[in-house]
Amino acid sequence: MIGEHEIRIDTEVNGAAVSTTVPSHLLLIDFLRDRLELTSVKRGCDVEVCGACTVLVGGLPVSSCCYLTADVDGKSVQTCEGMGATPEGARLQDAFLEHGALQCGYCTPGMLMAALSLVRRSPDASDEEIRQYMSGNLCRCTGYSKIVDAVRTGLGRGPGRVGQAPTRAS
Amino acid sequence: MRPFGLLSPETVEEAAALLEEFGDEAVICAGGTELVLLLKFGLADPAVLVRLDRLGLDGIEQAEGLLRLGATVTHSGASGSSVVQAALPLVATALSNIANPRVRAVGTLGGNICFAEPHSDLSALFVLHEAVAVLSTGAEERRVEVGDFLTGTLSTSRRDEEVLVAVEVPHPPPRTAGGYARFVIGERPNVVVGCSLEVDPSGAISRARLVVGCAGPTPVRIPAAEDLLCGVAIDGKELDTAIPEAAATCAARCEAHDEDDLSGWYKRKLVQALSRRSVSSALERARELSVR
Repeated sequence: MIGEHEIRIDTEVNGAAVSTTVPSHLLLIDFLRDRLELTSVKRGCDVEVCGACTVLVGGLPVSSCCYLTADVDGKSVQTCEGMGATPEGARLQDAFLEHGALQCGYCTPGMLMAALSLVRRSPDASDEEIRQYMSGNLCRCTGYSKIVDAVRTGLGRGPGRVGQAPTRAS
Repeated sequence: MRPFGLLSPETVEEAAALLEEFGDEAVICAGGTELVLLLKFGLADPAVLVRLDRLGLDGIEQAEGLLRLGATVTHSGASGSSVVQAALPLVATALSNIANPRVRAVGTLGGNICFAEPHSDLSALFVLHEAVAVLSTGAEERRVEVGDFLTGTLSTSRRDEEVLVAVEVPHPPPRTAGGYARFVIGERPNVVVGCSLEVDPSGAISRARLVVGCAGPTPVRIPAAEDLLCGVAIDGKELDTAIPEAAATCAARCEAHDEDDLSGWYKRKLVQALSRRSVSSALERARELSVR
């Protein structure tokens, strides 16, 4: 008995039930992009550092480039394609547009997924907590300040800018 | 990456039997945040992954004088636990510093120490707290202090058929204050110093513990530096010399090998500065405790 190489998974992706078999070594990013054509999921560094490939599994952010598809069995998966269906997801998407929080757009899906998980786990996150949490996602266009502003708006906080250079204080 | 068998045993006995049966061909996979990377780059090529998800190792339990952290508890699960935050605030902080939110959501405590990557805050903090690794084959359970469990870079004393099932962390004794300082490049902590001070009723340090992590292959205690702090009053003038001397001793006595991004020489400079900071931070907490 060598163990199954073809794994049966029963999962829910963006609210839709998905039941299928996948090779044991199939990475989640490849399953989502190639099998389900959810191409919002981007391959960036491929070593779980940049966050471009972030998706939510069971509500938690994961690096889909380093996550086995087999591990979504019995859990829900969310990508950007499913964000608009929830009020907090739609609000974040609008906030990113409003603030112009994307340039090339490559890091954006990962940023949105990270922001969505933050909104859910820490709806009262402070500006510092936003920065800390979002620092796990990299943007090569260095659009960071507007991204942080957008997350702040997505958290339902009023106008006011997070994205200012810190002053040299005490 | 070639396909592998995925096995999810229902008991630790079964897991141990599988590990024995498959030997080198099997690897334990918990969260997979380290292992999947190795598989992708061909640095590991097992025929079989033994999963731990059905073994019920994801609990956090209070026991007599200690907190038992299940091996498959995730970093964010532990750092978010009010029980861990209350009993082991430094460990909770270290956990919330690991890598990024995705690694914290999926990576496990057990996986972190079994992988034994030197650049681990968690290992250093576990050694500071005299935490104990609990290893099991189902039939037999063995306890080893984490400091002894970690034997070198990517190396532990886990036997092939054993599963790490929990880490038991003793509650710090009353009148104990801790501090910890770290230096990080990107996601990698390069130097970490943890300090724990027990203060007697007269306001003098009765017991000190200093651990340097990440700079060498494993976390190391620096007893010579600890001795310099013992007997010193937490409000006394002696601190003006004791702290710098302890910091210098940590820098001189720790292990600090050259690496691509930091030389051993530079790491020692960091150890000196971070030792001073973590001792000062522990002292500050100690003074708060004695005022209350």
